[in-house]
Amino acid sequence: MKNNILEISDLYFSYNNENIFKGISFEIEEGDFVAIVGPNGAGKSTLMKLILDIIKPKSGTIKIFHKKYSELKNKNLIGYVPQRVTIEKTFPATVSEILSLKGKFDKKILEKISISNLFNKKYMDLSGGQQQRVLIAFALISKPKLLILDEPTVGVDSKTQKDFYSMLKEINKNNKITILLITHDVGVIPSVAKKVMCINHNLCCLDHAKNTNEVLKQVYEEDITIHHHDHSHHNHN
Amino acid sequence: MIKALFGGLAIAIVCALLGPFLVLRRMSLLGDGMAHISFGGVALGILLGINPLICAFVFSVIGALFVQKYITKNENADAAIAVILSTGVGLGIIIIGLARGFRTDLFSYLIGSVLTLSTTDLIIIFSVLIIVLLYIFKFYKNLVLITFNSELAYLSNSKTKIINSIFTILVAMGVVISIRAVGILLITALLVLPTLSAIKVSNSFKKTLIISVIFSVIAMIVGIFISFYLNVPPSGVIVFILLIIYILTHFYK
Repeated sequence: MKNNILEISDLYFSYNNENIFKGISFEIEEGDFVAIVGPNGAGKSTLMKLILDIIKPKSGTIKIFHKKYSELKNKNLIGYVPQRVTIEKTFPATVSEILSLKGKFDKKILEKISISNLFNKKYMDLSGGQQQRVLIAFALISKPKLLILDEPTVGVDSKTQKDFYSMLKEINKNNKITILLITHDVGVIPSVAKKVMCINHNLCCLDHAKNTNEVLKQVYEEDITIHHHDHSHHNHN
Repeated sequence: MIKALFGGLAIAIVCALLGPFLVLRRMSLLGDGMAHISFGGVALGILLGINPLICAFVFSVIGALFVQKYITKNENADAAIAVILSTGVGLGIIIIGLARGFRTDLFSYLIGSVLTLSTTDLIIIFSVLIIVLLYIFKFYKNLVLITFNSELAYLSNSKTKIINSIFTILVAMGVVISIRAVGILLITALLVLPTLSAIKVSNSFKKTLIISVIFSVIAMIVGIFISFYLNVPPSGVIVFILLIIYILTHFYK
């Protein structure tokens, strides 16, 4: 019997008199790693904000761990990694100060995310990839069962992206954390995610990651085929 | 002089503690906007014979909550601050006209008069200091997280909006008591300069807060002494010392 972490039923949402979602429904099972794709403006980030109760739907139900978000006693079951945090460049907090805002944390998390050596550095002095790792560590401190990431690799180089996705895959596999990942990096989906979901306003389809090409065709209404290139043998000067 | 020193010390600490949470959220001019709308409140208070600081506080809170509501919808504080600033100053000018001219007591609110603090003023100022200290101590993590990322803050604590609204009211209180020290025209300096200087020489958020307080207190105490003996308005001297500190921190490596 499947254990659904997330159940969305007949969801309607509009913004400035424009319908963003008109009755979408889907379920995410425990342990899934779902990559969410769709064109810009399709409503991917909006969907995440609806799930996290940051904004309210017009109608429909959203249940996380079989309850509405507001009814959850332990909201720490959900971890969220936003897109790059846009803050003042002079923000002086260190990585350890930021992580301690969530509470006491297990240093093993830092080692797993490879940020142990960044503990006493200022967050704003880190590279983009390092900052994203800190945000993941922040989300993992509360030991969530569901991790939602909104385009976490924007502006990050390809090597760092590859390491980042490998880390997510490991977290999903070893820690049994369900992952929802909004991404435009469609090339990585078949090798990293278990399932792919396309969002484009009224269109919402969920399929196995191996069928990514077919899903993309539905979303973008043109033939898009992913070609996987292995750049590991190239020399980069 | 003793009242000025104690009152000034408390005001310096309040502004230095509130400043980082404004500057690092790119809301440096919120204090300025609140101060200018307070001008309207002060003028109305003098005209009606009501305590001007109470009127200033009411105007300041209304202005701040308006800015907060605007940011929630538009994520840009500048325009909202400009609206409240203009409203306050415009209203104040109208009231000056109704009061038949520019009165000396209104002028003292523009440039500050820390050397004339009364015992009642001290009670109000120290009450605000205690409230601000307790609030920041209790909600420090929430306030830093709001500064870092408001979405993460909201997800970590569902009371984030309330915490933020109360913080805004505390800023209004800080602005109002600061009017007595540096006046409406120079409040921004007291809120912003200690933070900007502290950021240059600190390597953590906590140290930024502490160093901001130190710089603010030094400028206030030294400024009051110098202004007393030179017989010049203290607000200008205090701000000038803050400026010197700010310039000196640029040489720190």
